[in-house]
Amino acid sequence: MDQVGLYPVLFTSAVLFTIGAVGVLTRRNALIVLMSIELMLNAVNLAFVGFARHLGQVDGHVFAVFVMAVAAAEAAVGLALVLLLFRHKATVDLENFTLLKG
Amino acid sequence: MDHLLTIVTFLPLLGAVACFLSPEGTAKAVALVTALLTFAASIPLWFLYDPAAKGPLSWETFQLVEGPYPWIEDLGITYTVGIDGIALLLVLLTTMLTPVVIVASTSSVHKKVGQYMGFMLMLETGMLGSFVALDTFLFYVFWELMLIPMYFIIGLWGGPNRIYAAMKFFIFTLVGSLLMLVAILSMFVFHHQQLGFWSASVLDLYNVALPYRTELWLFAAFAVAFAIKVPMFPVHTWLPDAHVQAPTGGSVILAGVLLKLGTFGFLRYAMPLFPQATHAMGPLIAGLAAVGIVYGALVAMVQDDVKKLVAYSSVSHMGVVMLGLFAFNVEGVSGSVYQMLNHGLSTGALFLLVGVIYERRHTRLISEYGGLATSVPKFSFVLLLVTFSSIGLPGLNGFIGEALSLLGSFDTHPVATVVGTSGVIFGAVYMLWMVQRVVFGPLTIQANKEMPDLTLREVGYLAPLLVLIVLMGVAPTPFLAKMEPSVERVLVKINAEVDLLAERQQPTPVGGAR
Amino acid sequence: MNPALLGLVPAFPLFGAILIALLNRKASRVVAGGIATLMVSMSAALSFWTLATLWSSHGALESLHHRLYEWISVGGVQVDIAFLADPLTAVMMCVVTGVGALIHLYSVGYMDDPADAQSTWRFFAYLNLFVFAMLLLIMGDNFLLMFVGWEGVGLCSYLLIGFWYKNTDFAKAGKKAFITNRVGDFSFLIGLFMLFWALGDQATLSFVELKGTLVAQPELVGGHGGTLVTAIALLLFGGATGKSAQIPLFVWLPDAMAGPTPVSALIHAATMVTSGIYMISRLSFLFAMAPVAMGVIATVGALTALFAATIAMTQTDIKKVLAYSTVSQLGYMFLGVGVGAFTAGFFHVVTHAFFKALLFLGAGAVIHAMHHEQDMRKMGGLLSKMKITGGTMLVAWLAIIGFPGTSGFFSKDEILWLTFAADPAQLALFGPEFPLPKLLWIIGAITAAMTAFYMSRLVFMTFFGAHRGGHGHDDGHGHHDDAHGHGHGHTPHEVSPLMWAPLAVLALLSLGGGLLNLPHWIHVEGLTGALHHFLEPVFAAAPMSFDGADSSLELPLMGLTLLMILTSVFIAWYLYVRNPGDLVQTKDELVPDLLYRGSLHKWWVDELYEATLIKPIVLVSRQVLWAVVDAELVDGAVNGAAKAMRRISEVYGELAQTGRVQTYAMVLAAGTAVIVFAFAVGG
Repeated sequence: MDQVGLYPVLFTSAVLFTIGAVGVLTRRNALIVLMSIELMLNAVNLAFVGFARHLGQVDGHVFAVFVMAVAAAEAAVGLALVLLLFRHKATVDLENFTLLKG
Repeated sequence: MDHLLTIVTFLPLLGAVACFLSPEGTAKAVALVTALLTFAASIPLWFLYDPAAKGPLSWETFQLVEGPYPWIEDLGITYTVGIDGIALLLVLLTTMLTPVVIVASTSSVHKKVGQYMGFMLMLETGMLGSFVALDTFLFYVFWELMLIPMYFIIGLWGGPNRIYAAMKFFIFTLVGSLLMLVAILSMFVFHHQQLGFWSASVLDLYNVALPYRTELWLFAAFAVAFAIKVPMFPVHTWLPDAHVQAPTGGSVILAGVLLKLGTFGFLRYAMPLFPQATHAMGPLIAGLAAVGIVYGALVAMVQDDVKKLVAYSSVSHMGVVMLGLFAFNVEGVSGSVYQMLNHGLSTGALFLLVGVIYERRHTRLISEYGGLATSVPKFSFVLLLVTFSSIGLPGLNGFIGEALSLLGSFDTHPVATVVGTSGVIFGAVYMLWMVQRVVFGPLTIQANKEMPDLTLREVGYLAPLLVLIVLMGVAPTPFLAKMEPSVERVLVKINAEVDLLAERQQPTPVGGAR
Repeated sequence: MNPALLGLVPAFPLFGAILIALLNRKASRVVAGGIATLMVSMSAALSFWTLATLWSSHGALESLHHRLYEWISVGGVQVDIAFLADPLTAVMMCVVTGVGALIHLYSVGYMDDPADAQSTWRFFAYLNLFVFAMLLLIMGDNFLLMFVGWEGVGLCSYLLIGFWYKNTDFAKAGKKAFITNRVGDFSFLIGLFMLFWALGDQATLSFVELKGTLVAQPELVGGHGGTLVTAIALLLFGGATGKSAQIPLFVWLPDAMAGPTPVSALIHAATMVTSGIYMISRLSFLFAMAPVAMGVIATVGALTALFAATIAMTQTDIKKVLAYSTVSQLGYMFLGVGVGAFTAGFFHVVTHAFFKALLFLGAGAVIHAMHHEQDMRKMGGLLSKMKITGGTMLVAWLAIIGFPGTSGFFSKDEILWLTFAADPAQLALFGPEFPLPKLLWIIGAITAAMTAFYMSRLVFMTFFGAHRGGHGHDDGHGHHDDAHGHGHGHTPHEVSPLMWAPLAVLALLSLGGGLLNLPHWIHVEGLTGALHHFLEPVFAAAPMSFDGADSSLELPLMGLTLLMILTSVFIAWYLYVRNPGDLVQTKDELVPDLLYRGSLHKWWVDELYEATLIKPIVLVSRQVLWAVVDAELVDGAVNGAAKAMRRISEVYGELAQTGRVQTYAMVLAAGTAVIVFAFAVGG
């Protein structure tokens, strides 16, 4: 573990983040979009931790913990919203929710 | 009494809050008491203001100055108020017209009276603030503050097409004022560049000397804002719609005071801030004013709706005011300021009179009337008096302003003045034609026969206007004496620097200054 | 006399007007009329006192002046409410208040129609207000105060013409009068502005100061004959053509006959309409500097005199004949002042005030007796029924046709002779050599003959021959639409003393008015040229020469005109009294149809103005300015901008506003990527 430098960590983080972003932007199932968001958050966490280690500071670790807390809250709220959407239209396909259409 | 101007300015706002909060029944009383208190508080201004003060445009010659109290210190924006002779008269016009309008509105507004009165008082604060502000940013805030209540007064209590009219009024005015805001902010920057400190005070900004091109752009930005408010041809089309749709009280305030903000803005901001551009654009603006005089009169002539006729007549009258302003001499500008007051009185009274018959017959079509002299002689007499004031009969107020404005501008813009003077003919044509069709002739329509004459309340609120119409025609000297030194000071500022620059062999301005 | 008393002269009628207005319906005809007459009489007394003061000083006292208060004071405009009474003013004051008082008295008798009982107070209030305004006009010591009176009389004229406002035509006539006058005022104002600025540092609006300045420094206005002074004079004269009903603005005066007849007598014959001549006389020093303008004035005057006379010859409405006759006589006065004979022109103002007021009042008595019948074809033979009215009318008739010895004879003859004798260089309209004065004399003489014809026609048709009234009463020309209280079809009878007494006084004045200014060939100590001497100081700054003709021609020329006049009277007598049956036949044989119809229809001038000016302006205003410029161009641009914005938004909305959050996020991400990329590349 000590031998792993900063760059592989950041690379992994970037790959994870991109996978998450693509998932958020392209998947039609609201649950999968939520999961993709989790992926993006965790990619950020990885970057935080990587930097924290590299710089020898504790701030990054603290932030990672914060993000986990927020992610938990977000997951709870997000799932509740998805549940409400499902109750409303009996589907979680995002194609069916276009209330923002101008 | 150190803060008299602030008291006069913000008293109506307090009253407005009280009106919004008070129950329907008492709102009228609250509004009237507030307006009368404001008027009472403003009367001492007439006596406290001393026109004899000597010296150039400076802190000494503005009087009853309060401030500068810091507000947004980083940009030098302060709360500063004060008056010169011109603002004094316009402040008094405003405080006098507001109670009149409030009394007049008691019979024309029936729904949400508290809110209506509240907006009316809020509007008064906006107007008074615009007249007394000596800080450009403060002026801008008050300027925008007027927009909101007027928008609601037209949009909520107006006629059938009120939403369109309110939107049109709002958009026209806002386009202009945003341009003005940009110009004001640019002035801040130029002032900082040249003099090394931030200031928003108009007196400090007067010291900024700009290259001719820059002046021209900034002048244009201010001029568009003010020209829309005046309104000058060809940006006048919001006015007829706004007037026709607005309730009587709204029309009176709109014509009586709001339009004067445009011409006042020219005199206080656009002209002295940018003297070279003012002179360069003089022929253009005088030309537009002259066209506006004739155009407004001709279009007024063919209106079927009394209120629209009076609205177009405003375009014509305000053309005279603009022509006088751009005379660049004391006769013309004094006449112009005098004409602002006259227009406030006589057009205000005309709108009140239209309101009187509208309340009785619920129509404004000229063809629905005729022969009213027989059934409502008092009304007819008042209408005739106001008509002759409006067409500038010597002996009444209109003549003094019109004659001085035109006399003054003849020296500077002879051709435009000749065109504009033909307004004396067309003015008589459209007003007398209207009077003939409304007041004279046989009384044929049954509803007109049964029409009640002016009530005591109506006579009461018209009386102050009528007294002033006669008084200002017979004895204009006290009013002219209050304003003349201020007018001269502004003119020194407008003309002196141009003379100075002409000596320095500046390139001839575009549009050919005289 | 204390000059402070001058202020009282206009104050009395103003007070009267206010008092009557305050009493309004509580004041009956007699009370309101009494107050009004009393007030004007007080003014008249003071006026005569003023005149006597000036006259008896034999030129030692140049003028009386009284300043009430500062009216306007801005920059170079320093104007007081101040009164000036020099000889010219004093004579005019006496005419206005004297004739005015008589007409007020007459009106008390005239306005007895029960239908008007509720509104006679209005009539007298307006009448007093008129006298007030007229006095301001003549007594004001500066242009602006004169202009107050100038417009004030216009206002009263407007109100009085439309006195019977229930009749739409009458109300329209009032409006027409006011607006036509405004056209003149426009010209007057421009002239005033030019004059004011021409003076530069010495700018003044006071007559006395202006006279001093111009006499001392004529170069300020371009010197004698300069373009500037010519333009100023012409523009000021433009104002006079409105007020004094000259070509091209005379059209309002005939219509103004819609007002009650005393109004026609006071305003539209004796006083207001002469204010143009008064103004030119007052500014004689200015006009004398502009020979071209003088030529224009004289020519316009002569042409108006002729033109109006041609119309008067065929009119059948008794008041219309008198109206055109007034226009014609005003033309004479302009001819007089135009050739530089200021005294002669002004003398005619005075005598005309006497005899024309008398003619109108007499016609009013006839109309009153005939129950508001104005058509002369329904009159005839009235002399036997109305001896006093008829008698006084005959005196006025003699005066207006210029029968030797009457007032009109002296004033008209003086104008004609001085026209003939005027130095052509003074009226350099067509160059200094052109014999314009002789030409104008010919026009004047022909007009005199025509005047004799149509006035004789009027008198003969009304007072001589058989009565053609009958019982069928046609109200076509009538009065307002209310029913009259009088029974219809009564035979005409003499009017009350209240009405004939003023007639008698005016008849005396018409007969003897010539004594004011006897011509030089009648030597009576103190009377020969009396008015001329009295007014001399006023016109001293406007020296005019009348040596363009041999003075031995004066009496022969007078004889010639007299012969023409008597011939005309004879023709009229032959056609209307001796052989009235031949009339139609003679007319058809002698007068080409077009000429006759042209005269009858007033040469279609009203129709011409209607078609070429009024209709096009209204049409353009409605169809072009309002419908196209306002609605299409300006609002079109504004609303078009709004519509364009909406359209753009709609298209954009279709493409981008899908409602799918993921699309939005995609755009957001793409945008972020672009920005990041830009930073990465740009460094």
